[in-house]
Amino acid sequence: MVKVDKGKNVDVLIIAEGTYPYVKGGVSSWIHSLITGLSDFNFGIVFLGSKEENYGDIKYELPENLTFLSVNFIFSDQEKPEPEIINAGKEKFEKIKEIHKWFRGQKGKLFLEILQKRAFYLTEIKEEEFLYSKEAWNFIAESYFEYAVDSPFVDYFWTIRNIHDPIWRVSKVMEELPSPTIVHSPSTGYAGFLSALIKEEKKIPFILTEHGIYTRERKIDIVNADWIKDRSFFFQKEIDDIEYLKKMWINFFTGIGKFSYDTSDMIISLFEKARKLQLKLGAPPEKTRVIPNGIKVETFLEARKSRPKEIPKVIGLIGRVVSIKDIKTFIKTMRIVVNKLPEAEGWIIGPIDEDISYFEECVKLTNVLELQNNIKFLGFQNLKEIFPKIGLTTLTSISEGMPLVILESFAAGVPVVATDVGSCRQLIYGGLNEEDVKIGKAGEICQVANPSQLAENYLKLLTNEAEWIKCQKAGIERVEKFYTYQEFLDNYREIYRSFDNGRNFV
Amino acid sequence: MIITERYIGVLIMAGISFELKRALKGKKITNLLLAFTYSTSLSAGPWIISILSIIFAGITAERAGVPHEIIRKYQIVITYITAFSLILSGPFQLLFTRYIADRLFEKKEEKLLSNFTGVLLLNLLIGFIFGVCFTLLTSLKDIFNNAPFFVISFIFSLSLMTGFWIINTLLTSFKSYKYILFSFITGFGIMILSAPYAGRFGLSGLMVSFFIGLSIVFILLIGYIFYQYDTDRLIEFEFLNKEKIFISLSFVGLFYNIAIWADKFIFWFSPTTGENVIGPFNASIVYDIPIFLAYLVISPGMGIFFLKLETEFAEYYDRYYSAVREGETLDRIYELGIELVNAVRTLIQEVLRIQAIAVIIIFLMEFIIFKFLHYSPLYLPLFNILLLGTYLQLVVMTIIAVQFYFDLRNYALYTTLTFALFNIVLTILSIYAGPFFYGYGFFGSLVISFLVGIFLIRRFLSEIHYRTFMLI
Repeated sequence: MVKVDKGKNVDVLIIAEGTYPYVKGGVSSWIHSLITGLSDFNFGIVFLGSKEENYGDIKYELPENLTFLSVNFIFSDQEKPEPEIINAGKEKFEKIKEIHKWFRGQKGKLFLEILQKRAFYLTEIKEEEFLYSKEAWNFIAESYFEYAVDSPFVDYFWTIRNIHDPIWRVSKVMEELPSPTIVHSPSTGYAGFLSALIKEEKKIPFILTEHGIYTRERKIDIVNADWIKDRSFFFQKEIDDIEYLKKMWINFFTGIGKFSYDTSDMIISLFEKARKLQLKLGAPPEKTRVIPNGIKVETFLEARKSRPKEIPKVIGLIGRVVSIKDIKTFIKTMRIVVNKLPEAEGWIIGPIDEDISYFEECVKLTNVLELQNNIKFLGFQNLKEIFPKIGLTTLTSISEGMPLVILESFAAGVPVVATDVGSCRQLIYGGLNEEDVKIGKAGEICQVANPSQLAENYLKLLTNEAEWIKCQKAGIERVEKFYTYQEFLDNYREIYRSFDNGRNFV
Repeated sequence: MIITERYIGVLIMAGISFELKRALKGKKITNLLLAFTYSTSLSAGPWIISILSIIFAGITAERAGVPHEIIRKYQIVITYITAFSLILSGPFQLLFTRYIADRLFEKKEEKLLSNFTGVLLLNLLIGFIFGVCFTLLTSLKDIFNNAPFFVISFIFSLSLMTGFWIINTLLTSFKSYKYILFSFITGFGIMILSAPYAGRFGLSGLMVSFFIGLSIVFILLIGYIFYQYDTDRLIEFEFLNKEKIFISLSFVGLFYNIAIWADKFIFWFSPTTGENVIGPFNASIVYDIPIFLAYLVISPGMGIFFLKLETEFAEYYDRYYSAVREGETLDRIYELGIELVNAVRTLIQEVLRIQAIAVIIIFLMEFIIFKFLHYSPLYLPLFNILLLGTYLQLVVMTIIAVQFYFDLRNYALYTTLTFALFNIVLTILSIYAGPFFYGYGFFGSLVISFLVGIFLIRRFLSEIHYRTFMLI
């Protein structure tokens, strides 16, 4: 469904899977700031969502240079063709079998060839043939007996169907697209798959920027999911034995991710560690590149100027109160800190309503550790006002991507102590290049869930003023040199230009 | 942190069994209800009761000295009213039954009464308009001058009876069977008891008494329906909304009712076999008595297939679909599929077998029975073939019920259409072929529709797994 079409040429077409402009969040604001920042390009957005009822209204004010927007729901029942008895012919399913092998993790020869031809989905095997033909049924039943003979059949059946079907939907999206100069996908997954098809069809370059590692995130989702009903008896289970159906999903996302890596012309990650993970998942090294996010440093100059002379004995944890941020470790750490430095305070700055039960547990823990006077849950706050009041920013998360709050903290002149996840090490110790390392430490990195190590570092920085100032200086220098919004925009502008001119064309 | 659509996978999977469950659950309940109502409303139930009442009314009137000729005319006119009203309401009977079943499944009980009012008024209107047109276009118009009450009660009875078949579709939802019985006994009892007095006023008198009896049943049943259900709207026509109904059911109902009356009409109006009784109404001395007896003989057995359907077949049906829903392995589903196929086979075989015993007993005793009823043994050959016909009609009904169970609406359509078409064509041919072939048209059409129905069910059952999973 085309929502916006200003009839202008689209320079860069962004494929947004479940993000911009319908869902607020990291990737969405990244897309938004990219479009608003690069006003010399015209952008198009193809939104891929699951079902229409899962989304509300558009959450962003659409920029002037967003000249095309189409909205597509790939799991919607309404768009399924009417069921009817179909005879599809045997030869067609030989090819489907090949794709299926690929879903099972065996790399068939043909799959790349087949997958890349969009025509395959639209003419060679139609969606209704896949959904309703007798051949498809025979094929599913056969592969069930071959590979999943003990699984509940109804689950197997729908897994196969649900894995395959969106591919046809995604392919259909292509029918109403403009002809962009570049296609840019902020994730692998279905968005990456569609981008690959667009690249093949329109013979244009495909740039992939991965924020999280999509494949890995899906894997975590799937392994933890209870929506795949486990009906086996407990004594049938072996440790580490993920069920066949879950494996199928993982293989699917791995396969589709690899497919995006293989077809894209450039694979961008936000930090070095993510790039290494991509390499592990099969990304060709010569295509990879790191382009970090940037922030508008000038916004925080005011906060930097208004800092008091003394280092406030306050440690600020900036993040939502959810288990992934491991707030409990922070509370435990504060107990140790307060033992040595009774006037120290820990502020938890971020919304508490996302996981109420976790928040309540945190409050209980605070009470048990008798920290009611030292720990404050402040909820959502304006960071520009908060930064001058705290001496340290901290993140105790067990998982992170590229947290902008670290950069903002640097810009406001506050050192950061964080756990060794995501890009934290690179941001705090420097790791972008030699020059970056030379700038030195802008705080400390600790192990995940290690309160005594965290406490030690908090105390060191809060009490040792010389060390603190060193870190502050390093932080300011690093963010101003490498992580500005301008730098970020310049990087992408340069990449778009280079592809635009036909150079760099792989 | 990144908020891509983390839960995209979750959303897909939520669809997994849910979608199928919804479809199968709906399937089970609606079809049960449909099969249930179908069998009861078209079998034993009210049909037999009303026919028997008319016979009794005739007998009591004759005892009181009403001439036999008048009673015969009376019974023939009532037969026409029954035939017309069944055919006219045919398109709505199954359609509305299914509509009700679907709304009950959606727990939208408030839709019931308002739409019932809608469909009832529509059918009363159709019956009335047809009655008026029929009167104006035939010699009934001339009778109006001599016997206005006869014509008026004909039109109103026809209208009322068309609506009566619609009420029938709701009878099964009544909680009190005693009340239904009470309504029938009161209404038709008054009709039977008043017949000797009404008979004094000739045909018009009898017709008025029929109309009054029917009205009483009608009002009592309607009263109960209005008492039992609530609604916030007086009248609705949602049952005509294409999105909410299955048009094919309309045709199944129409074809079925045309089929069961086609041979009778042809015999009435063929110059060789029919004779005029009164105004536009013809009868057939050759055909009417044997066919009536043939129906009477099989009517007790009509309930049997329903019982079999409910008890044995339904259990296998249930086991198969629960295995599908609840995540059995495909091996197990195949096994249960085979059992289900066997259950269908057994059901049809048993209906054939049990009725065969009844038919054979009748064959052995028919001579005595005919003598007892003072009917000429000349009727026997025709009676025999018609008995085989009605016997097969019961089996075809079983097949249609099974088709409804599996929601094979189109197959039911083909089966009933075959029945209707061949009954028309073969009956006409049988009349041309001569008296020896009378009845073979009816029998032949049932043999063919039986084969068609069996063939279609076979086709479905041979790929039941494919259809269960893929065609949702």
